[in-house]
Amino acid sequence: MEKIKIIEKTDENYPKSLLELEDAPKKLYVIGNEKILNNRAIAIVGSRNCSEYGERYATKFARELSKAGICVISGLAVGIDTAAHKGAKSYKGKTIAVLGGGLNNIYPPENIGLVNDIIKNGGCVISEHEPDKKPILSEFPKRNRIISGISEGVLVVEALHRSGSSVTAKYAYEQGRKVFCIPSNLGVKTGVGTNILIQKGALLVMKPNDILEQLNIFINDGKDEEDDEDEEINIEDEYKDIYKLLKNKPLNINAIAKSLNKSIVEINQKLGMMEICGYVKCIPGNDYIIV
Amino acid sequence: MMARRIPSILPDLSFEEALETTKIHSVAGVLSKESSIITTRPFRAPHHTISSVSLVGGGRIPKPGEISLAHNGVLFLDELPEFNKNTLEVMRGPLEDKIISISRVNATLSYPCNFMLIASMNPCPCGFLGSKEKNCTCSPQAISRYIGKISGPLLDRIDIQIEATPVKYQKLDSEEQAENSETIKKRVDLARKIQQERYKDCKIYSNSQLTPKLIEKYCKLDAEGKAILKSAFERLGLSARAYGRILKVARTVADLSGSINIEKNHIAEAIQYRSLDKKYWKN
Amino acid sequence: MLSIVKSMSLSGLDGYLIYVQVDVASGMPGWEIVGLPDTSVKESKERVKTAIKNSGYELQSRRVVINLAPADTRKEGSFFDLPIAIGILLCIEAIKKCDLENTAFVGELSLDGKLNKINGILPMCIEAKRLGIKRIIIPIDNIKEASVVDNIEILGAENLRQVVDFLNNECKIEKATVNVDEIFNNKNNYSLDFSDVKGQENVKRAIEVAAAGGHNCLLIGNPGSRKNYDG
Repeated sequence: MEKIKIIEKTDENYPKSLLELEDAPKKLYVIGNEKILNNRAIAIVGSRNCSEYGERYATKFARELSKAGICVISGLAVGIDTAAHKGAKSYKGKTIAVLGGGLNNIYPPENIGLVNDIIKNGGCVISEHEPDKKPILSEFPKRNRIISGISEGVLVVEALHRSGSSVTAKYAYEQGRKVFCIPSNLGVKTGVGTNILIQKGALLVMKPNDILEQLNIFINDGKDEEDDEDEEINIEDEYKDIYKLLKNKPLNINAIAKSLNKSIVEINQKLGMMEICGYVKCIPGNDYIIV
Repeated sequence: MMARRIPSILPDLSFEEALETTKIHSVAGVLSKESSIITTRPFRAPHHTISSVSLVGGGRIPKPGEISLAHNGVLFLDELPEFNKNTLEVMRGPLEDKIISISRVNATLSYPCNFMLIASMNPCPCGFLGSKEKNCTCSPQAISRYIGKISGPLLDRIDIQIEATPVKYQKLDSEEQAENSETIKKRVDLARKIQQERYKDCKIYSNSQLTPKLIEKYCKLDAEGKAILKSAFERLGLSARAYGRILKVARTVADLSGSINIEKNHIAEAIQYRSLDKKYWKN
Repeated sequence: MLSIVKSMSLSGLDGYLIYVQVDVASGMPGWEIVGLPDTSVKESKERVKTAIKNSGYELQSRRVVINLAPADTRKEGSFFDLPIAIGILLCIEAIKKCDLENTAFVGELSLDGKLNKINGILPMCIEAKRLGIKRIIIPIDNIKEASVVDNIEILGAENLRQVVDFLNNECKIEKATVNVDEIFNNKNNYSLDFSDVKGQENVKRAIEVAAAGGHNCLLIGNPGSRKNYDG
C-alpha cells in the first residue's frame, strides 16, 4: 500500500470546504491522490443492510455522477457505500472514502481490495485519525461530518430510521449542504429513513441529472437517459424479451415464464445462459435482476 | 408441501423392490396388521430431534432406522440445519453406499437404504431473506453461520439446490390447472429407462450414482459446452466440487429431453440448481 | 421327555432357522434356557408358564431345560414363546404325537395365552419357504403381512389353545390367501398429487429432474414457501 500523507489545515490541498466548519479536523491522513480533495464532490451514503434496489441505484447514480466529472464521496462501509464506490470505479471515476478509524486498520477488512482499486483509479482514502487507531464503531458517525463537509450535497439512497445516514443528513443541513434522497417503497424498512428525510424537505431525485441540475452542471450529450439504457441492450436476440422484462424490476422466474407465456424449462435454461454470460444475476428470493 | 408428493412421480416399484421395502418395514415393526405388501414408495419425514440410532438404525435389539424405512422411497429432512450435526454425519456413508452396516458384539447386520434425500431449510435464521412480505433481520455472519451448520461433505452429496418462493394466496386459489403427477411420472419413467439402458453394464441405474470415472465416460461435452461451463465457473465462482454435480444433473436434463448429447441449455439449467453456491455461500 | 420344534429368528433382514429343544423331566423343579438367550428371551419363561396355565393345561413342578440351537448365535426378541410352549406341551403330552418336521412356529404369548403380533415375520416366512418348510404357524395379526409369500402354508392363530387344538386335529385354522398380483397391480394410490400444487413451477421442474436422475435435493425457502398450505 502507498505511503500515508499528512495534510495540515494550512496545506493547499486541505479541502477548502472543510475550513468553514467549526470542528474541522486539524489534519487529515491520506492515502492516494490528495489533489482531488478540492474537486466538486457529492457524497452517496446509505444503509449497510441495503436492498438490491438501493444497491442498484447507488451504483447507477455514482456512475452517472462520475461521468459528469463529480467526485463521489462515501464511507467504505458495506452496502450502499460499497455500491457507490464501485459505481464510480466502474467508470474509472475518482472517489474518496472517508474512514472512521486509522488508515492502517481498514474497516471493514473485506473492502481492502476496493481501497486498492480506488487508489489505482486516482481516488483516495482519508481519515482524521492516527493511522494505527483501531476502528471503534460508536465513533463512526463523527466522521460523517467530514463526508458531508467536503461534499456539495449528500445523496441518501437507503437509510433506516435514525441511522448513520440520517446523521450525515443532519450534518449536511447544519453545514448548509444540499440533501438529496432516492425515494423508497412504503413499508420497506430500509427506506423509512429516506422517506422521512423527503418529508422533512430533502430533495427527491429520480435521475442523476436531478442532482447535476442542482449543482448547475448541465450535460448535453444529445440524448436523454431512456436512450442511454436502450443502448445497453447488446445481447443475443433470444434473450432480449427476458432482458426487457427485467429492466423494469426484479422478477421471479415463475413470473417471467408466465408473462412471456413460455415453459419453465425454456426460461430456466435461458436464464441460466444469461447468468453465465453475465447479463443477469439471481438474488435471494429467486428474483432475477439485470447486472 | 411438495416433498410429500415426490413418491407419486417416481417410477413404480418392481416386485423385488416392494418385497425388500416390506421386509424392512416388517422387521422394524411399522406395518399395520391390515397391510400386506407395500406397493407405494415410502415417504419418511423424521423430526429434527431424531437420534442417530433412530435415523440410521441399530439399538439394543437392532432395528432398521429411518434411512432404511425410506428404502426405495424418499427421506425428507425438514429444517436440515436444525438436525444434530453428528446425526447427519452418521448418514453420510450410507447415503453413498446405499447400505448401512451395524456392528454387534458377535455379528454385523446390514440394512439396505437406497433412498432419495429431500431436505429443506430456511435461507437464513429468521427465514425472510429475499422475502417481499417481511424484512430479513439477520446479519450476513448469522446467515453464513446458519448455512455452515450443514457440513460441506453432506452438501456434496446433494446434487440439486433450489430456492422456493412463497406463492400468493390468489395464485393458490386460481382456477389454473397444474400438471398432475401422472404426466410428470411419464417423463420421469422415460428418462429412467434411458439411464437403465445406458448403465446396464455399469452396475448403476441412475445418473446420481455416476462415479468420476463414469462421468468422464458418459457426460462428454462438446467444445461449446466446455466453454460455457468454464465461463460459468469463472463468473459465478462455483466451487470445484460443484463440477461433477453439474455434469450429472445436466446429464439428467438431457435425458429428460431425450437428447443423446449434453447441450449448452442442459448445462445452463443444471447450473440453475446450485442456488447455494451461487448466492448465499459467498456473501 | 424331549421334543424338538422348529422356529425362526432374525439377523438383519434375513430370517434363519432355530431349533427349540425342550426337555421336561422330573427332578428339582426349575427352568433353564440355554443357547445364548438375551434378556427378552429369558423372560419368555414367565410368559410361557403363565400362558400354558391360563390356557387350561397343567404344568406340574418339573425340571424344564430349553436349548435354542444353534447355540452360538445370540437370540433376541420374543419370537420363541410359541415354539417353547408347543415343545413343553409336546413333552407333557398335552399335544398328541404328530409330525412337526415340516412345521415352524413363531409368536409371542401374552399371559392369557393370546398370540401377539411380532416384528419381522416376512423375512422369516421367506426363509422358511426357502428351507422347504411346508407350514408356518404365526400370530393372526401378522397374517396379512406373511401371506405375501406363496407356496408355503401360512396359518394365523389367535391363541395357544387354538394351536394345540389344531395340532390335535380338533379344529381347523383358516389359511390366509392374498392375491398379491391384484394388490400389486392396483398400486396407483398416492393420496397426494402434483396437480394440487399451484405455481412454483421452477421448484416442480427441479423436483422432476431430481426424480428422473435419482438426485438428492435441497429446497431452500422462507417459511411460507414450503409448508402449511396442503399439510
